Order: sequence, then structure tokens, then C-alpha cells
Amino acid sequence: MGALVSVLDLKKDYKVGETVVHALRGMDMEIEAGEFTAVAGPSGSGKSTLLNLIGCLDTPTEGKVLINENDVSHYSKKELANIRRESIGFIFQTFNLIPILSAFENVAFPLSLLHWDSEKIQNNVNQILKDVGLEGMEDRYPRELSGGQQQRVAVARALVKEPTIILADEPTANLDSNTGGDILDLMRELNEEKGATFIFSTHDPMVMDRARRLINLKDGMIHSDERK
Amino acid sequence: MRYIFKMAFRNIGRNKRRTMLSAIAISIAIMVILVMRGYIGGIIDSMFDSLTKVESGHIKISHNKYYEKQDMMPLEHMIDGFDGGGYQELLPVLKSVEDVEIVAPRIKFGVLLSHSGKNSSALGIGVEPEAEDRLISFDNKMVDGGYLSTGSNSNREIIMGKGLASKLGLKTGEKITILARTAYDSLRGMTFTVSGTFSFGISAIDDKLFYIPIGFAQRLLEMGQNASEIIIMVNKPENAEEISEKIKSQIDSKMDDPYYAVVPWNKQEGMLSMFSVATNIYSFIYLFLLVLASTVIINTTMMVIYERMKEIGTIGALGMSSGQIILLFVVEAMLISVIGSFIGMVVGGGIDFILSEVGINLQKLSGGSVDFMTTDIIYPRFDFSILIGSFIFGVVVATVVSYFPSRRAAKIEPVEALRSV
Ligand SMILES: Nc1ncnc2c1ncn2[C@@H]1O[C@H](COP(=O)(O)OP(=O)(O)OP(=O)(O)O)[C@@H](O)[C@H]1O
Ligand SMILES: [Mg+2]
Repeated sequence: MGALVSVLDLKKDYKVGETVVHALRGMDMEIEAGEFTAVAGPSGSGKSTLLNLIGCLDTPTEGKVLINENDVSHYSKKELANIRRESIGFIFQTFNLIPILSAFENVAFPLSLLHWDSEKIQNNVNQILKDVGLEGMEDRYPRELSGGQQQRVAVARALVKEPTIILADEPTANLDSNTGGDILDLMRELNEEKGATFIFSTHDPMVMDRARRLINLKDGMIHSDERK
Repeated sequence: MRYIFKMAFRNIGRNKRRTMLSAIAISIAIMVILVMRGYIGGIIDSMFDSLTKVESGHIKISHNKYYEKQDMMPLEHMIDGFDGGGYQELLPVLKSVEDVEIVAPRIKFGVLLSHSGKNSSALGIGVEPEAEDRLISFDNKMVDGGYLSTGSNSNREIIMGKGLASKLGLKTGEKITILARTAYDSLRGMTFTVSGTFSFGISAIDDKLFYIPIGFAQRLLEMGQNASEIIIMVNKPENAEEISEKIKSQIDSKMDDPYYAVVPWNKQEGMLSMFSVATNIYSFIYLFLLVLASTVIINTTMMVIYERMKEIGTIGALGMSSGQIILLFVVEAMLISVIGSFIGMVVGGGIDFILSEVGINLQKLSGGSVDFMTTDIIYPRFDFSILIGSFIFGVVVATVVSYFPSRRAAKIEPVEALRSV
């Protein structure tokens, strides 16, 4: 049995005018189901780039990303969208809720994309909103929610379809440290109770402390990788 | 699909002013198109009515060779029956054909009329007074005096267009001598009493035309029992072609060597056949107007895509397909065009309805008589097919046009869109 996610000699270059930026210079790692992994490192070390590649938002210059043993590194735009829709949950730094949709509808959105029937959507969305502590706020619109509440909706949106993996690029960077801690606790709780696999990037030592595995990047390479 | 409509519907409410502006652009185009269509329809109806009644009939029968040169109104090659017995021979046959409503024989001839030192060229038509009256309904066209007397012993009476009468300084009750060149190329005169003057409201007719009983026309022109053409009106003009074929086969079957041309209005040369050309040209103008109005929607869509970059990145990251993202914006534009087309339909329809009741007086508008085969007052066409047609036209064109800017939304890469915040 292979790992849930395997990263093999992963390289990513960006061309900026004449020069080439080597954002990732060859990375290898495996993520097992149920892990709760933080990716840390200084600014520009390649955290976002790595998460984008694992999240099928982008394709590598060289090397491979395997998700459930499927090599996604050469997938077309359409195939990448399909795998994101079915298997990947995202939590964004700026929450990125859709402003015209209520909390309930935001969480239901990924399920609509999967053509779930409305009764099943109803049940799952209500349950997950309860799980993230937003019971009673289903009908509120993003502008009527605090940052922390918005990020809870986003966590619910990422989890509701029970994806293979949930990626969160600096999920707490726009929250004060208390609220950020709460979100991390929530994610960890969902990881423990539901076995959801999380990979998140962060600058925040407090957040790193709560991770069970900490991967440190430096200049596009893995500097350290420790399980706690 | 349902959530796409829901999202599109809420999206149009995000910037209500901009939505209204785009909708109004569409509605103005629809309004203009609707009123134009109604107006042009009214002109066409009016022209069709006048032209068929005065000129072409729904079906016109004449001698083959006369038909070829009919603009010159030659007095040779007349309708002389089946074997020289005169035009009357044809009438029972024609009247027996199903859906034929009016059969009106005519002799047309050009003359120079003169009266007390004033001259005017004129177009004379010899008619069977009863048949012609059923065709034209002179009741509401007589300005002065009365129509030709009907019945077996008709008098030497003439009615003429009021423009022609005034050019000649003629009044009802006065006499005029018509000097004409006969079929045998000699000159012959005959004196008629003016029994009345008429107006079609069309100067081309009112300044030119006079009617006399066909019997006197035959004598004046030395034409025996012949007529130059027989005008047929049927119950539905759109069936004219079909009926003309029936008539032709009936007539031809009675002749060894058939020589009559039986031509429905849409096959005759002249203005009528230009209607369909004109209608097509106007369709292009309508399309152009709408596409022009739709540029506002294009603009709106482009602005909206630019503003919602982050959202497009987000829904793309969540796995919404390119097609669905395009659809989201196309549906949004469609909803705007539905609003706009609806407003345009209601307002334009209202204007069209009022104008169709009141009429548009071209004479007043242009400050003089219009030398055109239409009545001076045009009643625009108003019917629901024009309303619904314009509405659907607006929605379809604007929606299709919006597809092009919407494609841009699908080209946005989620990574880029998410970074750009
Ligand atoms: N789209 C891009 N075009 C050009 N260069 C890029 C692009 N994305 C990332 N880079 C470069 O690649 C390197 C890694 O960037 P990345 O965003 O992965 O770093 P990071 O670890 O997420 O940094 P931060 O902590 O600031 O978010 C940086 O040098 C960055 O400038
Ligand atoms: Mg980053």
C-alpha cells in the first residue's frame, strides 16, 4: 500500500522575465492518511508552491505528485479540476467565501458541483456546520460573520465532501492568535474524530506546535521533517 | 444547474445600477425594434392593401403577351374569352373556383385629359362598377358626389381622384370629354359627367386615376367585348399562389392553345415582390441594433469578471468546470437581457399599440403629400407575435453575445486568481 500522497523529486520553476526562479528544487515526501502536517519555512521557501502542486492547482516542472497512487503531474486542466472537485478540500488564508451565498449555501456549493441530491446535501451540511460550531448561523451571509466564523464556514466547506486531503495555505494568517488557535484546534479535532488528512502551511510557531508532523522548508528543499 | 441560476440571479443584484443600465440598453433597442417593426409592418400592410386593390390583385389574369408589356398598357392582346366571345366567358369559371371572393375585370389605358385649358396625364380604368366597388369599397373613399351608378344601364359617368380633378379644375356634375387612341390607332372622343371625386389618401393614385364603366371604355377604345385584365381577390392572400394554379388549370382546360397568364401577387414584378427583400434588410438592421445594445452587456460582463477574480479563482479551485463557469456568466447576462427585453417589450408594445390605434400621419410629419404607395396615415401593425418575437430575439441575441466575454472567466487560472488578492 502506497501513501495517500507521494511527492517524488518534485521541482517547480517560475520564469520571471529573463530569470528563472527555482521555487522547488527537488522534494520527496509521503503523507499518510490521517496525518496532521504543518509545512513551515521562511517566506519564499516554497510552501505555497508545494501546497498548490499537491492540491492539483498547478503542475510541476519536473518530478511527480501521486494522489492515491495516481500520477497527477501531467493531468490536463480539466482532469485537475475533476480531481480537485472530488478529492481535495481547500481552506484559504482570506477565507474566500462566496459573498452571495449564505453559510449553508457556501458549504453546500462543493456538493452541488458533485450533483448530490438535496436531501443528502441538507443533512451533511447541517451536520458539518454543527461540527464547526456554527449551528444557528446557517442563513447568515459572509459579511454578517466574523473572520473566525468565516474561516469555520470555510473549514466546513473543505470537509463536507470528505475529501482525500485538505490543504490550507496559512489558514490563520488573517486571524488574531486566539481565533487562529481556535481554528487550529477545530482542524485538529476534525482530524482526530473524522480521520481527515490535513496539510497546512504557516509562519506561526503556535500553529506549528499544534501540528503532529512538521516539515520545514528552506530554499525550495526539505530542511527537516519530524513527527511528534 | 439550479445553483447556477440561483447564483446568477443573486449576482445581478450585486450592482443594481449597473444591471439596470445594461437592461435599459437592451430595452431601448427592443423598444426601437418593436416600434420599427410595427411601423414598417403598417406601411407594408397599407402598401399591400393599396397595391393589391389598385394594381396587382391577389391574382391577376391577362394575356401572356399583354402581361409582358403591361406597363405600357398596350391595347392589343386582350382577354377575349375562350374563343373570341369576350371576357365575360371567363367570369363563371373564375367565380366557381373555391376561395375566390371577388372577380373584377378592367381595361387600363393612359390618356391626356384636358379641361378648360388645363391638362393632365391620367390613368383610366374601365370597370364593372359593382365588382370594383366590392373590391375597393368606394363608400369611404368618395370625397364629393357619388360613385358610378350601378345596375344594367350605366350612364356615361366618371369618377376621378380629387388631385386629378383639382388639377383640371373639374367639379362634380361637370362634363369632360376624353380623347383616346383606340385599339385601331384612331382617335376617338367621348363625353362623361363627373359623378364624384375620391381619395385613397395616396397621392400617386389621387392625382392620376379615374374610373369609367367598362362598357364605355370598350366603345371608346374600340375593344369589342374584351378586357385588358381580370383582378381576383381571394380569402387569404397567402394562398394566392395555390389558387392561381387551380385557376390556370381550369382556364387552360377550356382552351386548345392557352394564352392567359395567371399570376399571384408575390410573383408579379414591382413593389410587392420587394417586400420580402425589404423585410430581410430590416432584419439585419434589427440585429445590428441589438448587437450594438449588447455591447453594454459585453462591457458589464468584462467588468464583472475583473471584479470577481478572486471568486472565480475560488470556485475554480473548488473544481467548478470551465463550462459551468462560462455558464454562470452567460446566465447572468441572460437574466439581464430578460429584464431588458421585457421592459422593452412592454414599453415598446404600449407605444406600438397606441400608434396602431391613433395612426401616424405622414402628411403632417413630412409637411406635404407623400408620393408613395401608402395612405397618408399609417397604422402600425400591432400583434403579439411581434411582441413575443422581439422579446425572444432580444434574449437570444444578448445571451449569445455574452458568451464571448464570458469565455475569459474560464481562462482564469485559479492559482493566479488566488495569488492576485
Ligand atoms: N507565479 C509565480 N511566478 C513567479 N514566481 C513565483 C510564483 N509563485 C511563486 N514564485 C516564487 O517562488 C518562490 C516560492 O514562492 P512561494 O509562494 O511558494 O513561497 P512561500 O513559502 O509560500 O512564501 P510565503 O511565506 O511568503 O507565502 C518565491 O521566490 C516566489 O517569488
Ligand atoms: Mg505562501
